Amino acid sequence: MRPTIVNIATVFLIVFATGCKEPYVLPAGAIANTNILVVEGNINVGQDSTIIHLSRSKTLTDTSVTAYETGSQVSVQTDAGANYPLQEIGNGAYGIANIPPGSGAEKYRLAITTANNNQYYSDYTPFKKTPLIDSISWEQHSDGVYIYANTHDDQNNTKFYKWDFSETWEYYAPFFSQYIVKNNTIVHRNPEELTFFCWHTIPSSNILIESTKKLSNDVVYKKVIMFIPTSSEKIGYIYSILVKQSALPEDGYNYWDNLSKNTEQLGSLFDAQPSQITGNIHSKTNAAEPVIGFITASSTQQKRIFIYKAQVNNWLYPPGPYSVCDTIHVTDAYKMTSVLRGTYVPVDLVTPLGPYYAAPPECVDCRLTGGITTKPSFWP
Amino acid sequence: MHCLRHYLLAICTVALFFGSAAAQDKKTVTGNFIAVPFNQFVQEAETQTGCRFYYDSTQTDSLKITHRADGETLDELLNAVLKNTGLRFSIDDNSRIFITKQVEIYTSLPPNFFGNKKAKDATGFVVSEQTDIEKESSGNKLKSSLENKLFEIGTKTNSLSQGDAVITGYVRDAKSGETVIGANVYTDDKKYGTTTDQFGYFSLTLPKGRHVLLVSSIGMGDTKRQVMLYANGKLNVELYEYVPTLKRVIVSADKTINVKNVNMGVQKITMKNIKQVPTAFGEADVLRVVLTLPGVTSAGESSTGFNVRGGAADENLILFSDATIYNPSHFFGFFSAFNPDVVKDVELYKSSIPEKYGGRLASVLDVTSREGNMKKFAGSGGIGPLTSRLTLEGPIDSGKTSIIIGGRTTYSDWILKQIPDNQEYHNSSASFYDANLIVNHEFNAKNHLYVTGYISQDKFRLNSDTTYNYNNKNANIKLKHIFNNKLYGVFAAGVDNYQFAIGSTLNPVNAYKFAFTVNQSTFRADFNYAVNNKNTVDFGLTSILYKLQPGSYQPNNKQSLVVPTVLQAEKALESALYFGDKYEVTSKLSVSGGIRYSMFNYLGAQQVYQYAPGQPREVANIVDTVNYSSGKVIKTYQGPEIRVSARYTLSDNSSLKVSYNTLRQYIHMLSNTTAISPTDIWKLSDSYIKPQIGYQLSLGYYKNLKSNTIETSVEVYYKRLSNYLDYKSGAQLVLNPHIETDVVNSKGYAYGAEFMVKKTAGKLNGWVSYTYSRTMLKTDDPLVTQPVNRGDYYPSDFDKPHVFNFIGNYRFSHRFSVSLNVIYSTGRPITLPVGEYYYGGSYRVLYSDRNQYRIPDYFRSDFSMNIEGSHKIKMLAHSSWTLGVYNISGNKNPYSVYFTSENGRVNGYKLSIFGTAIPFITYNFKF
Repeated sequence: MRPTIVNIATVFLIVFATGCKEPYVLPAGAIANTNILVVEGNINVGQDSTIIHLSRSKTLTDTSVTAYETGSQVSVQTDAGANYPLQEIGNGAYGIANIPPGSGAEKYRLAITTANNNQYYSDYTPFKKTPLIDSISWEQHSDGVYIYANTHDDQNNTKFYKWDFSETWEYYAPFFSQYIVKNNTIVHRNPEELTFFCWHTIPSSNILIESTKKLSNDVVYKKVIMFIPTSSEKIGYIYSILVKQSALPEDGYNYWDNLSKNTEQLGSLFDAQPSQITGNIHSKTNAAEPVIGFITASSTQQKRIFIYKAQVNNWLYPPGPYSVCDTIHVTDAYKMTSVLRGTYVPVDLVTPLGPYYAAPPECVDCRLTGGITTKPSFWP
Repeated sequence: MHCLRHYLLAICTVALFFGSAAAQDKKTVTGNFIAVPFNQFVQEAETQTGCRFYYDSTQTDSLKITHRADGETLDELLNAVLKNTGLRFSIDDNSRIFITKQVEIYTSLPPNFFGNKKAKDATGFVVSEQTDIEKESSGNKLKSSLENKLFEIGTKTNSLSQGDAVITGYVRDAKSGETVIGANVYTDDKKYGTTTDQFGYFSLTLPKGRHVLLVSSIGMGDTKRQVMLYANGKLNVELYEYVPTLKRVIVSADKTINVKNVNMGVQKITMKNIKQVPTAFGEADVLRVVLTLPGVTSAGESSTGFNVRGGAADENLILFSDATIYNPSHFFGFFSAFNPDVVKDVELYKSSIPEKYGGRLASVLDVTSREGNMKKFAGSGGIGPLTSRLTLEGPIDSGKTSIIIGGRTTYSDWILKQIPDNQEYHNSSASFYDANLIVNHEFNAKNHLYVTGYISQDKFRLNSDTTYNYNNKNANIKLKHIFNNKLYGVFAAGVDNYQFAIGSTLNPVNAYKFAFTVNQSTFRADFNYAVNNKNTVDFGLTSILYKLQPGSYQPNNKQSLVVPTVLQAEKALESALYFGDKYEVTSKLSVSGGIRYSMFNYLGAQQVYQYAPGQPREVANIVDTVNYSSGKVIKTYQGPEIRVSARYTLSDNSSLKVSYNTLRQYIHMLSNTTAISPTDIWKLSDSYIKPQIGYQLSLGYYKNLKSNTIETSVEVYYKRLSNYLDYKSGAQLVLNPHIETDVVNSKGYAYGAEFMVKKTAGKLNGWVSYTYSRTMLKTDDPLVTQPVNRGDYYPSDFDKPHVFNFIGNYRFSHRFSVSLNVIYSTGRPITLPVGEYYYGGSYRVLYSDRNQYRIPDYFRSDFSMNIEGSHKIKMLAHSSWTLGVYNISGNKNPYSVYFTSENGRVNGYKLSIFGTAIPFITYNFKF
C-alpha cells in the first residue's frame, strides 16, 4: 500500500484545521476541444474473449455519452505473423471470442485502421501468463466488510497484477406490490411484472493493481479489492463479486499506476503534479498525434464468491419499509386518480374488501435504483 | 526621542494645561508635563514659583521631562523630575535653584563649619564628590550614570599621541546578559560607526581623543558612552530593554541600518515582532512571519516550504544557531520547528548573501537562538490549544556560563482520543516535540565557547496502519577567539542529521519499513579583520562531509516477504574558501566585494551506470557499470561564486544599492509534489546531476522618513537559474538506484519588484509590502524527448505575481495591544484538465500544458489581542494572554484544486485548509 501520510495529513486537516472541500467549476477559458483516440483493452490469450474499446476524448463539460469510434478495422497481430481480426460489436467495442494460446514467447500488438483511414499500432507487448487466484477472502471489521484477493506465482514471474471485478447484489423494494394499473384499472401483477426482487450489477471503476517487485516471493496477500461500509444495501440479502485477475508487464503496471495517481489519488496536502501519461499506442499516419491507452496481453483468471447477510453481524439493512416510505389508503376518488396516474402504485388490499394501500413508485419498484428484475444465471 | 520632537512639541503645547496658579509664597507647581524640553519646564516652574534656575544648557538640552505635578513643592518636584538623570539641584535662600551635573552645590556651609558660629549667609560653595555609581542598583539610575561617566580607554597619558585606536567590545542586554546582534555603535557626529556581529561584538576604529558613542538597537533603549580614547582598548556596553512608560513615546533616531548597510535584501525580524503576528493555533511562528516578507511566497497555506524570489523550497539554507535544518516544520507544516522562547531573532538574506554562506541558491534564513540569562535564573513558557512549551535558563557559575533548556510538545494525541464516535481515530496518534540546549561559556575576555544542541521529532500513526516519523538532530560547538583588537576568529564544528521513516505492519506479507537519512559533518573557520574603520575583511573556510542513506526498504516483521533493499550510501565533500572586503570608498560610497570558491567532490564507494552517449538516459541505454572504491573521487564540480554589492548614500536618510550574486547548490531535494512533503528525499550532485547555479542582479532604493521611524524601500531583481531539477512524467524518486533516468534539467528566470514601508517604532508598528514577481521555467535538456509544455517557458508552481501583506500592531497601552494581518496574493498556477475520456471503468481527466491556469486568489485577515499582566519589574512571574481569530472573514481560500474520478465520474474540487474563522487562545508566562 502507498504510504498513507497523505491520509493522515487529511485527517489532521479535517480534525484540527476545519478543512473543507467544495465543488469546483472550470473557468470558461479552460475548456479546450480535445478529440484524442482512446484505446482500451487487454489482449486475452487463451480461453477468454478479447474486447477492445475505441472512443474519443471530449471536453469536461460535455455531458453527452462517450463518443465511440465506430467503423474501424481492428486486429490483433503477433510478431510471429499471426493476424486475428476483431468484429465490431457496437458502441465502439471490437471483439474476438478466442485468441488461441501460442508458445508463450510471441509478442502481441493491436493494429487499428479508423474509418478516416488513419493507422495506429500498439507496441509489441510480451504475453504474460496470469497465475490462478488462490482465494477471494473477506473479513468484517468495525467499519465494514473488506474483500481481498490472494494469489501467488511459484515461478516468481508475474510480479505485476491487475484486478477488475463485477459485483452483483440482490435487494428488494420496500413494499411488495401485488397490483398494477393496466388500462385505468387495478389488476393483479403477472410474475414477470413483479418489481420487488432486483439484482444490481456494477463493474469496477477504480484501478486495482499491485506489485510484488519488492517481495522475495511473488505473493499477493489480502489485496483489498472492495470495501463495503457497514449496513450497506449490498449485503442486505446476498452479495456476489466476480474478480478477474490479469498479469501486467512492468511498463503496463507503471501506466496504470500513473493513471491512478493522476486521476484517483488526489485531494491531499501533497498531491503529485499532474503529469502526462504516455501509452504504447502510436499513430503511423501522424507520429505527433497523441493516442491514449496501453495495450497488454495476458491470460486471465477469475473467481466468484458470495456473501450472505447471515454471515455478517450488526448489519442494519434493510430498514423497515415504513421508515423510508409513505403509504396512502386509496379511500377517495382523488387518491384513486393519483394511483391511476402513477404517482402512487397500488401495493395490496388493506382488508380483502379494500381499500388498496399505495406507495410512491420508488418504494415498490426496485428497478428505479439501478437493478434489474432478471435473476442472473449464476445466482444461487 | 528626537525623532518625534516636532510631533511631541505639538502635543506638549496642547497638553500643558496648568491647574490653578499656585500661590507664589508656597512655591508649589502644578502641571502635566509630557516630554517637555527642560528649558520649557524651567520656564513654567519659574513662572509659577518666581524662583530663578541656573543651569548649563549643554547638560540639559537632551533632557525631556515627563511628570505630573499636582501642587508639589519645588523640592518634591525637582526630586521627581531629576531622578535618574544624573542631575542634582540645590535651592538657596534667595530662591535660586542650581542644577548641576553629578555634583551637588551646597548653598550653605555645613553646621559647625565655622566652629559654633552660624553660617547663615555664607556664600562659599562646597562641592561634594559623587558617591560610587557602581553601588547604585536601579537600572535607570545606573544607566544614566554610565552615560555620563567618562570611560578612559587605553593607558591614560598626559598628552594624546596622534592617530587612531580601536575600541572593541560586546553589546549586551543589561537584564539577561545576552549579547545584542546588529546593534549600532557610532559616534555622535555619525562620522564613525559600526554594527555588532552575530556575537554582539564590535570593533570600531576612531581617532584618539574624546568621543561620545551612541549605541542603539531595535527594541532596546538607546544609550551613550563618553569615552576618552588613549589607545586600543575594550568597552562593553549594556542596553536596557525598552520598557515603554505610560505617557512617553521613545523613538530612537539613527536606526539607519537599512539605509547605511551595504547589504541589500536583508530582512531582520525580532522575536518581539514575531510574537505579535497572529497565527492559526496561537503560537508565535517564525516561518509564518517569514512568509509575510516581500519576495517570499509558498505553495500552500500550511506548507512547510517557502520560496524566495522564485527559488524552489530546497534552495533556502535554514540555519538554527548555525545548524542546518533540513525539515523546519512540525505537523505537516502547521507549526514551525522553532520554539519561540529560544529564538532571539531571524534574518532572511535574499539578495546579498554574505560570502560565508553558500550551498543554496535562493536565500539564507538565519535563526539565531538566545544565549541564556547570564545574571539570574529565568523561565518562560506557553500553553496553547495544541501545544505547550517551557524554557528554563540561567547562569551556572558567577556569570561566566549560561544555559538554556527549552522544550515543546503537543497533546494532539490526547485530543485524537477524545474525538467521540470515531473508532478510526482511536488507534491513531500524532505527536511531536522539540528540545533545545544552549550552553555559553566565557573563558576569558578573548575566548568564548558556545555549545548548542537541537532535536525535533514528529510521529504519526493512522488507524494502526502506517507509522510515520521524522526527526532533526543537530549539535555544534563554536569557539570564538579574539586574536587582537582587529582580528577575531570563530571555529565551529557540528553534526546535522535529518531522517524519516515510514513503516506499516497492517499486511503481514507486505509489512515494511522505509528509511531515509541525510547526515552532514561540518567544520568552519571564519575570521573577521577590521583593517581600519573604512575597511573590514572577512575570510574563512568551510567544509561539509555529506553522508546520505538514500533509502532502505526492509521487512517490518517476521512474516514479511519484503526483500531488504538498501540503496548505496552517498558520500561527498563540499568545501569552500571565501574572502570578502567591505570598503568605504568615500563617505557616500561603500562597496563590499567577495568571492567564495566552492568545490564539491562526489566520493565512492559507488556504482555508477554509464549510458550510451547521446542517447536519452533510460534504463535501456545503460551500457556499463563502473565501480568506484571507497573514498575515491567520482566527480568534481567547482567554481567561484561572486558576491558584490555597493551602496551610494544620496542623503542622510536615503541610499541606492546594487548587488550581484552567484551561488551554487550541490544538494537537491527531490519532490514532484506541489507542496513539499516530509517524505521528500535529498540527493547529492553526482556524475549526472549537476550543481544548480543561480545568478542574481538586484537594485534597491532606500529612504527613511520621520527621523528613521519609517523605512521605505524598493528593490528590483532579475535572477537566472540553471540546472534546476524537474521530473519526467511518472518519475520514481524513491528507491531509485538510477535517479538520473527520471530527472530533467530545466532552466529558469525570475524577476520582481518589492515595495515595502515599515514602521519600526511608535504605538503603531508593522509593515506593508507589495511584490510583483514572476518565475518561469523551461525544460532545457537535449536528451529529453517530451519536454514540459513542448520546451516553452511555463510559470513555476509558486509563481504568484501580486502579493500584498499588511502586518500591523497597535499598542493601546503597554499592557494591551492588538495585531492585524491582511494577506492577499494571486492564486498559484495549476494544471487544469482540458478534457476527459473513459478508461478503466471510469471517466478520467486529460491534462495538457502545465501551470496554465490559477487557483482563485488568496485573501486572509487575522486579528489578535495581547493582554499582559502587571509589568512590575520585580514581580515573580509575568504572564500574558493572546487571543484572536485566524482568517476572520472565514474565506475558503483554496489550497488546491483537483479533479478526481469517483464512481466512474470526474468531479472537480476546491480544497481549503482553513475554511472558517479559527479562534485561538494562548497563555504565556515568564519568570
